Amino acid sequence: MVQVSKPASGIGDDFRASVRAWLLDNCPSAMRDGKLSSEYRCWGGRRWTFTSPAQQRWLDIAADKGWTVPAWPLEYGGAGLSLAQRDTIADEMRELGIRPPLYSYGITMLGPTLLKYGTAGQKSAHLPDIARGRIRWCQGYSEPNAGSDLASLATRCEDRGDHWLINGHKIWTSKADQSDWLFAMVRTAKTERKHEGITFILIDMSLPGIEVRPIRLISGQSPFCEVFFSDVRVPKHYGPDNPAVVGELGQGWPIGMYLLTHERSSLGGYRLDGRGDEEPIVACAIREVGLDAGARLKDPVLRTRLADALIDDAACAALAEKLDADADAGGEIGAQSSLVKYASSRIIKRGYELRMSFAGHDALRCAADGAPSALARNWLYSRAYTILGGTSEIQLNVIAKRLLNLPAR
Amino acid sequence: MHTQEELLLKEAIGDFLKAQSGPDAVRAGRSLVREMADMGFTGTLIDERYQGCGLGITAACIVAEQVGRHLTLTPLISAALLPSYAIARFGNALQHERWLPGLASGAGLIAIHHGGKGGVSASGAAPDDLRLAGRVEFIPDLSRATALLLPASLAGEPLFCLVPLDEPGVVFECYRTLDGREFANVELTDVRLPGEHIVSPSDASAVESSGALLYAAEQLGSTRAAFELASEDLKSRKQFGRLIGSFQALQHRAAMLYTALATLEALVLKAAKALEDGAPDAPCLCSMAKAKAGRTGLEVANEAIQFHGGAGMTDEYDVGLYLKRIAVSERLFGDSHYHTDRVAAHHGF
Repeated sequence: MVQVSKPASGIGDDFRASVRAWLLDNCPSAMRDGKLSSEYRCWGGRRWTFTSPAQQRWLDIAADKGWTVPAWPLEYGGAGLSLAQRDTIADEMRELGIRPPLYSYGITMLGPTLLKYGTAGQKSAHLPDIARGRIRWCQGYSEPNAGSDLASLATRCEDRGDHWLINGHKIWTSKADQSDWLFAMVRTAKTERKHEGITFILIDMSLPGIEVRPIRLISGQSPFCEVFFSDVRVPKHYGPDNPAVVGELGQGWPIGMYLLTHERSSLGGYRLDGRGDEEPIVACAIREVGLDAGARLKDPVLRTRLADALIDDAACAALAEKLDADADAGGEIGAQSSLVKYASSRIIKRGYELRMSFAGHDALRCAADGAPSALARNWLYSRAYTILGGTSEIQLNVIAKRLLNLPAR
Repeated sequence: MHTQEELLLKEAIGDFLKAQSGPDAVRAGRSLVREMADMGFTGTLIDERYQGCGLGITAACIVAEQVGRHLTLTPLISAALLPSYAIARFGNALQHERWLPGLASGAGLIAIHHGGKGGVSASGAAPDDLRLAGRVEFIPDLSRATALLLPASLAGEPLFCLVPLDEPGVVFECYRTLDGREFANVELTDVRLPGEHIVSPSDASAVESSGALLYAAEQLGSTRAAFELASEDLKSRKQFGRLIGSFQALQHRAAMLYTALATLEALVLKAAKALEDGAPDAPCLCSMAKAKAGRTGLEVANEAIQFHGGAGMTDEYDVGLYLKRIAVSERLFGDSHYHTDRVAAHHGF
């Protein structure tokens, strides 16, 4: 019989201990306050106003160490660590109640894409600014008539010799009103097959002709915007070896899709507990519903629903960890990110459904100014998770076609 | 992630069971008993000094998964892997000497009881004069074993009693279940046990956890095989002039099942590593794995029959065999509801 040895996990307790020690030594105490919810996040960028000197100091300290982007190469502002080590750092920060030093779409989406497809000039021009939180990026993908059917996008990009001329309309652009640059898929040619003729381009939002309008959601929040382009002249090169276009002209679709797999694996981080910034759901259940003399949740139906959800949550987390380990071992995650995106977007919604059930009618009450309760707001907003980043239906299409190879006809 | 060695083990046992078992063997009621010992699989968890292979619970899960995948009728999991885990972990040196070589060679298999109806009461003064009486049901593969490992308790202390089946006062009735496996109910009338037959576990729940985990792995194997059958049907059968797998309604259902299967697989592996490492959350993860395996297994098997249409209802098609197998394993070592309750308890609610 085959001899089986114990696997090397790649993450020793030594690494974890050294991470913890460094965090305790270096993180300003004001940033160790357990305030992990999105409103306390540091997004960086030119328009960012630091909420405190400590927030700025923590960003600089972490960026010096390469820990805003631990898995990126050293030369671009990272620490050259593995994905599993990156996850260990994130785990330790969460355990210690330390706010992440920086969060951005540059980190989760554009960075990995430039690392794979960018020129050396593009990488050195953009990646260090992302790692240090100097530039904030947003994503110009969806259009009013190109959501799930993204390849129907029609924003025009014409070659005008020394520049590209862009006209069109993007929608569901997260945080466009607070961003400095935008990465987009635009149409550079009308072709028989609509996936061709699409180009991946980097746009400086300070260029004339760009207008941004926030969209108000059912939750009362406005995290998404519309972006209008009217005769925007984008230079062909922002500097030496630093073209505006990433990859070849008309070959942007696979690049945009590669970026989506990263968006989907970052969205795959959602858990039953929410975005990692709220009262843990078990504590919430116990506080709202109460325990009986046998230490069981007083409502047996809610007890079962919560335990069921915890099981699916653990299974979803296990798959996300497994895919990270596969990626560290050099595997390509590709369409498998759709599995995690599909599962985790459903689990986070289930978490807010449960919290609403635990809270009962209290959660439905609005403030005098008409604002919904924080829980109701989060519950309403959580409807978005199975829509954004590719709807659940699109994820199921990807799984059926790419992973199961089910026939087209 | 599995190690390279684990993948090799998976291939070795997979190839063997594919050749030796499968739907036809189930229909013929053909069991693999001695063959499993000859291949060394019965000794998976037993130290080399007792003629075993000295592997861990993750390796045992790989073995169990392949048993489920090929619907193998065998006492391997129930009467070799599980009792060897319990005795190796909690028995003393004399007990290791006494029981482990027989488990490894297959000459002294030991059936194991968990849950089910009935109950046994222990009385007397352990270790030298323990008496057992009562009735236990739904014990897998007892007819292949020479003894029964029976969890009991005396004065609040958990005990594992190793009851030789030829002991006076032991009467059993054997039967087959829906899936072709062999089970037995046992009646015990004033059975006396000497001290060497009594194991005092420091953590009785570890045996339940290992049983839940191995049957979760076994169900994972059957579930994956059922899914593959369904997937083949979607890719080969035509209606309305097109392959039925091209219909989005079916594609989406298949994709949902596949997602559940992929998350189950990851959960079983994570629970196995946790139990192997003695992690504090191992019991909870093992319960999660068993609950998820039962729910996902039944969901996939039911949908696999639905995808096949009327043919799925026929005895001639294999797909029904997987439903039966999964339904029986659902009731072994705690069903989904039992383990869901355990998960809530582990989380303090």
